Amino acid sequence: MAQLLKTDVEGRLVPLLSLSIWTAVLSVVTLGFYRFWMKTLLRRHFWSAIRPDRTPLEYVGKGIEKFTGFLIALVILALLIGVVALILVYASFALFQEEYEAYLIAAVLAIPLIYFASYRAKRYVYARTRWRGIRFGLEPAAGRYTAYAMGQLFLTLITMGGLWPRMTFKLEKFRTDRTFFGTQRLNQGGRWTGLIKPFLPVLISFWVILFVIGGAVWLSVEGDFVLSAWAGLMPLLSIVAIFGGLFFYTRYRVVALRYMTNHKTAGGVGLISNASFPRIFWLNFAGYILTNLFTTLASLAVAGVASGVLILAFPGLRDFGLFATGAVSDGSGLGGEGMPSAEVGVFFAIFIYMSTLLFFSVFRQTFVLFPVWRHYAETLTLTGGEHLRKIAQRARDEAGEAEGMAEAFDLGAAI
Amino acid sequence: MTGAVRSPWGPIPEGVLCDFVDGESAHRHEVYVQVRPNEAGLSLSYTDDTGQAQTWTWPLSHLRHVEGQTKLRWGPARLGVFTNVLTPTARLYVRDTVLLHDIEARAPSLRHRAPVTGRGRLAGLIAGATGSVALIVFFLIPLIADQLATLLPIEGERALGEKTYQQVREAFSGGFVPLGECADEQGLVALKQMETKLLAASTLASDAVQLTVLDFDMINAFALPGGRIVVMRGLIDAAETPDEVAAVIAHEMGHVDHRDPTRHALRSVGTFGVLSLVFGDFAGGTMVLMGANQLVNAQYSQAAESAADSYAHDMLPRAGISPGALAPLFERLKADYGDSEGLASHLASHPQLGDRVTRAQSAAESYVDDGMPFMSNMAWQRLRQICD
Repeated sequence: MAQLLKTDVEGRLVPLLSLSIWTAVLSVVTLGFYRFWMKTLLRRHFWSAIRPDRTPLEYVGKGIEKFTGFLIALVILALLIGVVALILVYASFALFQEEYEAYLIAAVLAIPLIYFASYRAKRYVYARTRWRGIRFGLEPAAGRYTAYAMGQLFLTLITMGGLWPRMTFKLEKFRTDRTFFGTQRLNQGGRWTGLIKPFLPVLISFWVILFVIGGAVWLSVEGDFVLSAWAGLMPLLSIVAIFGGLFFYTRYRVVALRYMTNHKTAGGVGLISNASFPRIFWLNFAGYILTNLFTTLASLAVAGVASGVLILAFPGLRDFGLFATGAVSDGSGLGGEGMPSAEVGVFFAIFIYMSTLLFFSVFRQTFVLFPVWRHYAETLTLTGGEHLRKIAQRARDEAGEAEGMAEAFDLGAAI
Repeated sequence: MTGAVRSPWGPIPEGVLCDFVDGESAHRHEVYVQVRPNEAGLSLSYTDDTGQAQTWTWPLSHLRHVEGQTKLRWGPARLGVFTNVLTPTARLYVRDTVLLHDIEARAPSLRHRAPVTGRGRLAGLIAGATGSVALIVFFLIPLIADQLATLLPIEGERALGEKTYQQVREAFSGGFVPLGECADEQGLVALKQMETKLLAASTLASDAVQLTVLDFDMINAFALPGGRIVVMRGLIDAAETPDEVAAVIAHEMGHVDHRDPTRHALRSVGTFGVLSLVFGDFAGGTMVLMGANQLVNAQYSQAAESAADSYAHDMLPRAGISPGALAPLFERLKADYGDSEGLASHLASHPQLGDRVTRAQSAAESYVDDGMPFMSNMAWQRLRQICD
């Protein structure tokens, strides 16, 4: 009989909230250098919360290896980004008296680098993930992956997005077929055509947007006012298409993930995902409302406390009361009698900005990322558990530079 | 149901049932775990696939917590994850609270960590990376920027200057409205008069410089790429004569002549890219703010400052102003703010202010005043009200 193994999740939010708050504070205090250790601790927490068949996943990465990996990537990228940015901006101003061209070229240059870095990052994360004591692994193939992805991207572009589902599928298959659990290679089954149906509404929305933009350009060139009624409809149409497109794309992501998961096998072991789009949509919706609410409240509290400190130090701000921080940040409370100097203003503006950013990331982690992660895990079932006994340990993959390059591009994926 | 098939007639071993993986296969065993204080060990027994009862002992001193897995919970209870220092991929999962406490009370080195290796390599990496980044930021980028600055056509320079000008106005406004340009009609006429007169005395082309006054309370003036020279209202307020303002502007014209602002702007493009890389994404917006700040507080090299001073000392007599005109303003600022006061008074914060005053005064020794004022008193009063 095929064994069905359910996944349990230990999903309490309070420990996560406290962990994310103190690691985020440390990251800011250390000018961002603690972020490698913060990421390690958060991953450990996320991983070990998930228990397929009662055994927690384990993340065994170390902060220090992320830090050293980052240092190595830093030297290469500093050279690349510093010098290339300089030359691009120069060329752009020299030729066009504008800088948008520089950004455009930089973005195009960055695309392959991003695929390269994200593959390397995945390889590192897999190499440091264990379940039942057995290591996961991803074959080193970042270069080939990048070339392959560029080909897929090209096909997608020339079909105006039509082959996007094919790209989703093929890239996932490229990675999955090179993924190991212990000695067992994973296999991505299914066909890319299985993703066409959920993608159709996205494609239609996208083409409507393209059509509207094209129409607007054509109208501005032709100046044909017979069509002005049509022109009046365009903003409405494009807004509907943009929101519809985003909605359907979110749905596509969930449905595609479910399809791919259901067609993944590792020898006799298979996966079943019952992830639900309405549930994920709701978790995101409610999660972001909570995130923004808590961020606002926390920032207000911090600004209030900071105002108190300011008024004690600078009596001239007394009239502003609780809004002293705001007045100092926007400059109206500066330079007067008993008021702080411009440096203090800049300092408080940066302080409020940073703490707001920090609160947002902390609350987003707690109220959006973790619940969504929990849902994906809870709806995951393993089939063919009896085949697991045939899977043996694999050798450790050093994955030397960790995710240094991805780190530099902020490609930490979810966390 | 997982684990070995146990014969219902076989003996049930003593101990607490726990999950166990050996780190060699993905098969999970159900083992009966017992603490044996007399042997200072933990006995694990299970029945293998062939029905044979197997027992082996982990010495308590070999037991370790798995790093980062000490606070796991299983519902309301704790979940302990242990390993053996000799088989570090093996895992023993303990859900029984009594057994968990027993193990934690008796195992002596649960929290021992493997010694940290590769400290030398790490130190080398940090030193190497810091050195390389420093080399890139302080040598390579300035080198390339200096070369490119001399090659940039004037239209490109002006566009770059316009961009940085808008950034400066936004960065210093604090709110949503950019810092206002002072545009009192008669004040502008006086400003234009000053601009024309100074340009005529300089070696620059007649359209190489545009003067602008921004309504901001800072004693400062700075040149932007393409020849825009921004004078903050604070400087005009602090000056007692038009000659003092003109002397500061002449110094900035020296920077324009030497293309210092363009070099500086190009340099900062490269430097910011690298800096935002080092500090990560979390400081993205702040970097922009700091960038604009740095631009205004442009700390050109000592050599560039001296060159701009010499330029001013050369051209000021031609405009009918003593090269020493800078000195009284500097001395007043120094008396008010001390030798370095940072953001609030950039002019006063230039290093070796004393030296510059001395040099200005020595340049003024050979200067003979022709008795003609640089600017009429009325024009000067109008300039002072340019922001009203």
